[in-house]
Amino acid sequence: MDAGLDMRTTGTKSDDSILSILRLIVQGIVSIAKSHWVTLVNFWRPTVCERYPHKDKSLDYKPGPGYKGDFALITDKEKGRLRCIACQSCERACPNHCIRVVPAGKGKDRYPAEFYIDVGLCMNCEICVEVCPVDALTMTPDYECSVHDPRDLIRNIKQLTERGMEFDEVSRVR
Amino acid sequence: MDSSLIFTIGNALRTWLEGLCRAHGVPTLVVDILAWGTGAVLVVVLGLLVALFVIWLERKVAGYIQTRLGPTRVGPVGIFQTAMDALKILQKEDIIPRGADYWLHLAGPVLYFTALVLGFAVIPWDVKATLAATVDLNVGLIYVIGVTSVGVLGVVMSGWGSNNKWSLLGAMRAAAQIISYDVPLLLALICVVMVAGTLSLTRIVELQGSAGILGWYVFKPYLWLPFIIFVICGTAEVNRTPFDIPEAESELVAGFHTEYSGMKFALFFLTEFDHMWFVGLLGATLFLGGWYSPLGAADPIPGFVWLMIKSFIFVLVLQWFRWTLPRLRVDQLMGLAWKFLIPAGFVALAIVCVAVLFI
Amino acid sequence: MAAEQWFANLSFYVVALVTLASALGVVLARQVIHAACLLLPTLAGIAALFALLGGHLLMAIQILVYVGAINVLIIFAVLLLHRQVDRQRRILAGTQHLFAGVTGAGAVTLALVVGALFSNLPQLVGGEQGRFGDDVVAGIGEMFLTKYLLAFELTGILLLVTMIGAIVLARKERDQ
Repeated sequence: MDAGLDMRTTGTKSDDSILSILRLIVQGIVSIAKSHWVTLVNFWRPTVCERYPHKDKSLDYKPGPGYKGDFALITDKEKGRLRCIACQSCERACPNHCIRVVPAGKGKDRYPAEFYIDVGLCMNCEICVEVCPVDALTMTPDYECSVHDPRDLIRNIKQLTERGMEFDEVSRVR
Repeated sequence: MDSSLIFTIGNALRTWLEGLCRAHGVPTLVVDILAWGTGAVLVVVLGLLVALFVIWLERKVAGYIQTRLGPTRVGPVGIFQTAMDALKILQKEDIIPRGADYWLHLAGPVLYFTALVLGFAVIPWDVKATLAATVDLNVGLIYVIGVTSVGVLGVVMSGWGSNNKWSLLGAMRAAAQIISYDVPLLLALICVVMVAGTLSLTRIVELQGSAGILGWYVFKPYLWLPFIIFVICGTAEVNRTPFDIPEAESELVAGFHTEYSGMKFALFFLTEFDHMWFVGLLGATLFLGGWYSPLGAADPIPGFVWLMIKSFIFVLVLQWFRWTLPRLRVDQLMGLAWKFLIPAGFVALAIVCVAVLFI
Repeated sequence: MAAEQWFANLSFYVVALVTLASALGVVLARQVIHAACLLLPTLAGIAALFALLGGHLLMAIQILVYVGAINVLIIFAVLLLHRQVDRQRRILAGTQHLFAGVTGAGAVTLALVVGALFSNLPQLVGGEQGRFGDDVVAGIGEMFLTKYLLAFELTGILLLVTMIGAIVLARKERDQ
C-alpha cells in the first residue's frame, strides 16, 4: 500500500481498484471545493471585530458584575463612612503582598488612615475580597487601568473610595 | 495613460541622451547601458514594492477569511503596515549562531533572492518596444525553470549554514520538495510550449493576444489539465500551504530560516512572497494572455497594469489556498508529486500532443 | 563600434575572472561544502560565457542541468558524506596544491590543443543553418528528430536505465 496516496481514513474499504481511486480523487476534489466555498463565503461576511478603543461600533462594551477589574472600597451610605475596619486581613491574605493598610482609631471606631493597593502586582485572585469580614473591598468591572507611570498603579484610599461610591455591595456573580 | 506614452517618453529621453553623448564625444553605448541598468533596477525595485504589497494583501485576506480585519491602524487600511515592519526589521540585530558557517549563512538568502530576481528579467511586462527591462530570450521558459532551480541551492546553503538540525532538516525537505515539483511543472509548461510552438515568453503572449480574449490559453480545453498542474506545482514551488512543510511553524519552528534575524530574514520573507507573485506572473504570461487587455485593443489601461491584475488573481488564489487547506504531511507531499502529478503531467502531454496534431 | 567591442571584452573578462576565481576556490577550499558551493559561480560563469557567445539555449540548459541539477546533487552528496571526505582530504592535504597545479596545467594544455584543432569549427558545423535561421531551438529539435535520431533515442534509453538503476539501488529491502 503506497503511503503517498494513502490519505484515506480508517472507515473506507481498502481497495486498490481504479474505480475506488477515481472515487477517492473525486471525493477529494469535492471536499476541497466545498472548503474553498466556505472560506470564500466567510470572506464577505462582516467581521465581528470591535476596534477598541476607537469603538466605531455602537457596542459599548461593559463587562458584567464579577469582572475582576480595578479595586474599590465600599462606603456604607447610612453611616457615611467606609465599611473597612482596617483589620488587615486582606493585607495578610494577599499572596503578592500588594495591599498596605495603616489603621487608625480604636475599637469600634477603627478605620484605615491609608490604604494602598498596587494594582501592578495584583494577580486578580480576589482572595482579599473573599477574606474581608465586612465586605468592604471589591473588584469592579472597570478594566481601563492603564497609566503612563508605574507608580500611578498604586491606588490610594481616595481613588478607591471614589470608585466605590457607585457600589453598595461587593460586585460578584451570585 | 497608454503604453505608447511610455514608449514616446522613453524614445525622446534616449534621443536627448544620445545627443548629449555625441556632443561630448562619449560613445552612445553609455545610453544603452544606462537604459538597461535603469530597467534592471526598476524591475528589482518593483519586485520589492510588490512584495510589500503582497504581504499586506496576505494579512488582509487572511483576516477577512477569518472574519477579522487584519492590519488597520497604519495608514488608511493598514497599507503601510509592511513598510513599517520592514523599517522595524532593518534595525534588528543580525544574529549568527555560534558554529554557523558565516559565508554559507550569508550566501543562502542572497542566492535565494537572486535566483528569484533573475527570473524577472524575461517576463514580458508590456509591448516589447515599450520597456527596456525585458530580455526577449528565445529560450525564455527554460531559463525561468533553470533559474528557479538555483533557488534550491540557496535553501540548502541556508539550512546548512545555520548549524541547526531542524534547519538542515527543513532545508533538505524544502529542496526535495522544490526539485520534485519541478518535474510536473516542467511537464505542464512543455504542454504550453507545444501549443505555442516557441519557448520565448514574449512570443507566447503575442500568440495569445492576437485572437482576443478567447485566444488565451486558459480557455483552451486541452490546456486545462496543464493549467491545474501548473497551479498546484506553483504553490508547491513557493512552499505555500498546503505544501509548507519546510517552514511549518508547528513542526520545525521555522524550517530553514529559523536562525535568521534582521535583514536576512526579511530577505527570505520578501523572496517567498515575491516568488508567489512570480508564479502569478508566469501563470498570467502563459495562460492568461500576459499584458493583453480582455477588452480588446482600444483600451486606455496600459498592458503593464493588466499584467499586474492578472498576476494578482493568481496571488489571491494562492492565498485562498493557504487559508483554507490543511498542510500535507511530507510523505503525502512527495507522493502527490511523484505518484500523481507526474503521471497526470504525462497524460496532459499526451492530450496536448493529440490536440496539437489534429486541431 | 569600438565601444561595443570594449564593453564585450570587459564583460568577458569580468565573467572569466569570476569563473576562474570560483574554480580556484573549488580546488583550494578547506572545507568540502565550500568547494561544492563555489561550484555554483563556476558553472554559472560558464553559462554566462555561453550567453556572451550568443548561445542562449546552451546557457539556459547549462543553468538548468549543471547548476540546477548536478550542483544540487553534488551538494546533497557532500552534505551526506562530508565527514568522510574531510578526513580523506586531511590525508592528502600536503599534496592538494600539487594536484591542483598538475590538473590546471593539463587542462590548459588540453584547451590549447583543442582550440588549435578546432579553430575551423564554424566551417565544420555551420552547414545546418537555413530553414530556422535564428531559432536555435527549432533547428536543434529538427536535428534531433532527423539527423541525430539514433543518438537521441539512445540517450533516452540511457536515462531510463539510469533512473531504473537509481530506483533499484535506493529501494528498501522488502521484509520477509
